[in-house]
Amino acid sequence: MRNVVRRIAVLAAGALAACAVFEVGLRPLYWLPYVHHPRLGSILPAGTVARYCREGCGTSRWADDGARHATPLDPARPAILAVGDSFTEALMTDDALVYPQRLEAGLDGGWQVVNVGRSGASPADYIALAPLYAERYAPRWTVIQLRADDLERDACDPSKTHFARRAEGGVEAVEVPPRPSRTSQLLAPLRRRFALVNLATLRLREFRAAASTEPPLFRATARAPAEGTPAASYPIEAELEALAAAYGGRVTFLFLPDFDPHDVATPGATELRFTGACLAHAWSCVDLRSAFPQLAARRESPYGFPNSTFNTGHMNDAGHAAAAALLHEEIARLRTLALL
Amino acid sequence: MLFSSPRFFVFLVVVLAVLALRLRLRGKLDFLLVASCLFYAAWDYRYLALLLGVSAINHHCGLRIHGADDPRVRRRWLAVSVIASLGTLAYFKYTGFLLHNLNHVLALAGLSVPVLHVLLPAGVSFYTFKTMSYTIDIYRRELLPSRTLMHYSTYVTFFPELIAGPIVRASVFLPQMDREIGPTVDRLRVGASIFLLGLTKKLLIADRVALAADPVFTRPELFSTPAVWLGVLAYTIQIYCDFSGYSDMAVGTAKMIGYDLPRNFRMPYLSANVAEFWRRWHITLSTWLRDYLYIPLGGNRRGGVRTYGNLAVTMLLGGLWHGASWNFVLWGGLHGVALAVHRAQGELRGGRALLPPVLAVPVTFVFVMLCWVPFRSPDWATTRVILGKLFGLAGPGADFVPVAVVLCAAALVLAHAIGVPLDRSVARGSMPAWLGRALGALGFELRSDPIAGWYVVLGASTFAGAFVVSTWLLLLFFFAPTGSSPFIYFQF
Repeated sequence: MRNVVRRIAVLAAGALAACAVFEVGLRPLYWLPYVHHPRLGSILPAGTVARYCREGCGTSRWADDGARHATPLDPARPAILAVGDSFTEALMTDDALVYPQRLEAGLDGGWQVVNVGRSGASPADYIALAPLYAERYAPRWTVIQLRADDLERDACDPSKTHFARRAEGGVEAVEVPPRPSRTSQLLAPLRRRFALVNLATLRLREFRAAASTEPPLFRATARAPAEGTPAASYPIEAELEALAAAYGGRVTFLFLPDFDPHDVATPGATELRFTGACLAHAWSCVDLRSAFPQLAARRESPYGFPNSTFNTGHMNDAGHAAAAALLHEEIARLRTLALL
Repeated sequence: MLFSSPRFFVFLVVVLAVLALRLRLRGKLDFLLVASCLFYAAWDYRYLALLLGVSAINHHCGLRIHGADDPRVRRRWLAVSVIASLGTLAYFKYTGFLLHNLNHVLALAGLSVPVLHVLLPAGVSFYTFKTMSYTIDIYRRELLPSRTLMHYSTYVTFFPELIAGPIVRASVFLPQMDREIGPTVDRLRVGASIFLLGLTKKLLIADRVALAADPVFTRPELFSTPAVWLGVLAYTIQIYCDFSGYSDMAVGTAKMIGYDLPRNFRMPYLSANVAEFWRRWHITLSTWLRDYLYIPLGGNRRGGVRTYGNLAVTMLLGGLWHGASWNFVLWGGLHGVALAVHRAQGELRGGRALLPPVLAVPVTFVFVMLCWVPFRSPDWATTRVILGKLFGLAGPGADFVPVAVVLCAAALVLAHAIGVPLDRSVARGSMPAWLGRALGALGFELRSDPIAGWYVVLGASTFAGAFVVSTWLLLLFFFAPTGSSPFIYFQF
């Protein structure tokens, strides 16, 4: 009996030591002490210095709850708001390299660009949260980052805040408040304290998701990809109108299309509709495609990282630099027109 | 049901739990047959009938060959068996390819035949080779036939090696079927150790470097010369870790059940020449080709030119065995030519090697790596672009340096640095003191058996051992990609 207890103690001590080593080793790679916000969902609280090193490696400083900014926010300085999803949040990219921070660095006149990008957020979220952002940051202008997917499937996903068509035409945002699971609530204190627990809960979620969509063993049972709703059936123009209205028309839309270095010129169907709506409404719009010829000439892709896959995934340094340069030109144009 | 998928772990636990019950051996073997059929039917139940049909024909042929004294009758039944196995393989694997190529020829006369799109049954290349070796061994009077069809079908359908080998010969497996099976503490420890090693190769290395290899083989024109070299290196690492990882998982699973499966790899990338590579790579296939193709063709008994021809034919067919494509034929042909050249220079130099090992190993490695280009490329056009890129002949591209390739290459070098002294220890029959002390401190054991070769059995009886095993499991948990991809050799 004593021998069994001794062996269990040795096993537990070895396992605990391994966990301790992992905790120390993980912190420089993954440190995201999320807290729950009733409207924003999981956010990084003010004062956090976060580290994310899975796809790319980046350190981010959070000046306010859910707002990324390398230095403390100054209410006296005029603000530009950068709204978007994980492409704007850009946890995998260092502060100085993300497009909102690059844009701020290039602007004179004391502007600060507040990055409120949030992973998993949808365009309908941006509308639902516009009053909250207005109250917090009183932005003079807002940059809204969009991809084709955001305006299509994501915009109408009923599991999160989404668009619904109004009977009288147009769309409205239907808010779905974020609800943390019971387990998530129970583990929250541990997740905020230990990188190991934090990453373990994320991994378990990923494993669960993978198990539910386990790839078939062989080709025979390979399910054909579900027929997507054709881009033409999404109310893209109405979505853009609603977004522009939510921010008082003082917006620049930043569109991020897929990159094909051998065909930098041909836009996709949703992108064409986006461009058409921009022209029709004389909105301020920036399409990253304008930077594609230079990127292709430099043999760079705006997406993908050395520790993930080339030209797949989120924007890398080159992508953020290109987006910031285009936005800078657009802001300069707006200022010439005395709109900003 | 991938070996690396949660569903397989549930399946395995159920199988082991039933085999742990106090049942008669016959009952356990019958259950194993049912479990293997369920495993196979998880893919497509329709091809289960084909698998069992091929088994039944070959079992019957085996009995007839054994029971006949007349050489002509024996030959006739052997022919029936080989035609049934090879016919199955040829129809399902090569019909589309043959008709496609026939259309190229007929197109010259303005004719064409409809191309059949036949779905490849999983594991057909592996189980037909098993069934053929069974009847050929009986014909050669090297093996007694299996007593019952159930017994034989359990061997043919044994799920750990059904889909992608190792190609276990009946002479290795059937004698083991008389012993008691079912999990014991020691079997579980041994099996889990080998399985864990395979799982690590698959998830932490193969699936990681695949992210770097796939884009290069999908659109090579996008990448620069160094990036393409890294992509090809990534695939070189991927295919080794994917296939040897699968083999380890198969061997580990079989060990948990109570069977020994043969070793399929022995650090092949450390080979000093192509002949040695084939003694270390996919060992069960290369020995199969040697015993059932190369030697019957005449082997090296009929003079120089014929020997080189036999080598080339064996490797061409070995290439074609992997898949119905000219790219596989090219891959096999390159290896065949290299084997012939190696043999010729050996004869000219009286058996002395052309290069010292310090140069021969990297040269062989680069040759093998370049041969993977046609093997992995989807078509000849891609092969040409990649080869052009590798030698700076196909224009510029993106300089993408995938970190995973660098890390995984370093991990492989480290693993080989540990593996080489262990391998030598087993070969010499004695272990250096430092290695014995290191294994002892960890509570690990180096074991070997005549079939599976050597392997390290993990343990958690010491603090250091518990620490290493826990760290290993945490590494898998935190860094393995979640959406595991199917094993490469499943398509063959």
